[in-house]
Amino acid sequence: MPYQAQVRETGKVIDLRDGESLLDAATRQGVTAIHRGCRGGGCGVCKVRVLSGAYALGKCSVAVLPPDERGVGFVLSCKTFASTDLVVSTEAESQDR
Amino acid sequence: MRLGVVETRVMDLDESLKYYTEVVGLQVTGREGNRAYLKGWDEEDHHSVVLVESDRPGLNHMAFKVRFEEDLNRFEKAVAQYGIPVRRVTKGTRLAEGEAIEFTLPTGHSMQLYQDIEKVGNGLKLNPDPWPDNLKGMAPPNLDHLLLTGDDIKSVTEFMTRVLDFHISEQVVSVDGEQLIGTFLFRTNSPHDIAFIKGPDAKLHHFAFHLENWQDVLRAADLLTKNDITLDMGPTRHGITRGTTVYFFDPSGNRNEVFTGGYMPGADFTPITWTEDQLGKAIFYLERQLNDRFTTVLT
Ligand code: FES
Ligand SMILES: [Fe+2]
Repeated sequence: MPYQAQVRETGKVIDLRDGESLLDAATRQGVTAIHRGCRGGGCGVCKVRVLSGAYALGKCSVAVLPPDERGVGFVLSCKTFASTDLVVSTEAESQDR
Repeated sequence: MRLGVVETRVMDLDESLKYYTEVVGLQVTGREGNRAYLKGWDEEDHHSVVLVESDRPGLNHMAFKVRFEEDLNRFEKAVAQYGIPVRRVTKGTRLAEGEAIEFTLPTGHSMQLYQDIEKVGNGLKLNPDPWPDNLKGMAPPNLDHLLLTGDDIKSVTEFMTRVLDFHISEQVVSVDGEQLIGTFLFRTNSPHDIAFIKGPDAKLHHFAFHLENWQDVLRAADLLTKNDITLDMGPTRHGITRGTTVYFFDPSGNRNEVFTGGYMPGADFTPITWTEDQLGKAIFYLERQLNDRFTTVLT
């Protein structure tokens, strides 16, 4: 079932297709607040923080998404697959983006 | 010496192998533990790319192949004399590789020199056809060059030119001419075997494979779309090197390039200088501007 992700800062709602990453959905709908980098979980430029909702995370580089950040909801949106509706923040403080 | 091997970290070895063999079109020559060994179809040595499974992407090391075994002793002394510690890598550390020397560049990258590596051949040495059967994907004949980022471009360039005898083909300087922002270096007759550009230490910007012509670059770009591989930039032309190119990402986010063309410098080549305000044209001659992704996405 398709879900939606809302960007807290702008209120913009992104429709997520089945099996589509948060980044691909954002790119498809012209949401540039989530930046597109390598699309491979390696560079960290697509990093956002999930404020609410559940998701599965694919392989992400620990160099750009260390375990402590991961533990508090930071994700690489190119490797984020929602399993409920999400609220995300594109301006949450992270050491590395 | 010439660029012989890049050892790159990937996050999923099987997925990466699928990409490097079917889309890029390298050939697998060995697999052992968490490492896979690959080569381009025209390369004679056992491998030019080593993929290592890891929890992060990026470059483990690059290795240049020297002509004679005794060159290792000579460079070992010269590098140590310059004040950079050198260690020996013993034979058998990696599949098919003999002894090597290893040291860390002023930019934090690990570099090796070696001479001994098993030859598997390209099968094109007796009354050969121009290319073999069963090529896949972009099918680059060989590895071409790599671009690394670091803070102290001046020091790394000085080391590469003075100690390892590289030559500068092109350089990027600040408008006032005071600061070195990037250097493109060669040891063969290619416009660059390795290049350095200002940025965070010890990072990989990209490594590139050679293609025969512009039409092959276009075809490589078609393959990106066909296989849903992430495009970075191009196909386009570089001001620097005059080569043509397309950039894309491997499944772990390491940037790859296929490259063709450019001039053939000799050791007496007079370096070309670009000022930083013209960097857009220097890198992407047609677009005449850089994008954020190209400068910030590193592994
Ligand atoms: S775009 Fe590079 S980690 Fe997501
Ligand atoms: Fe390049």
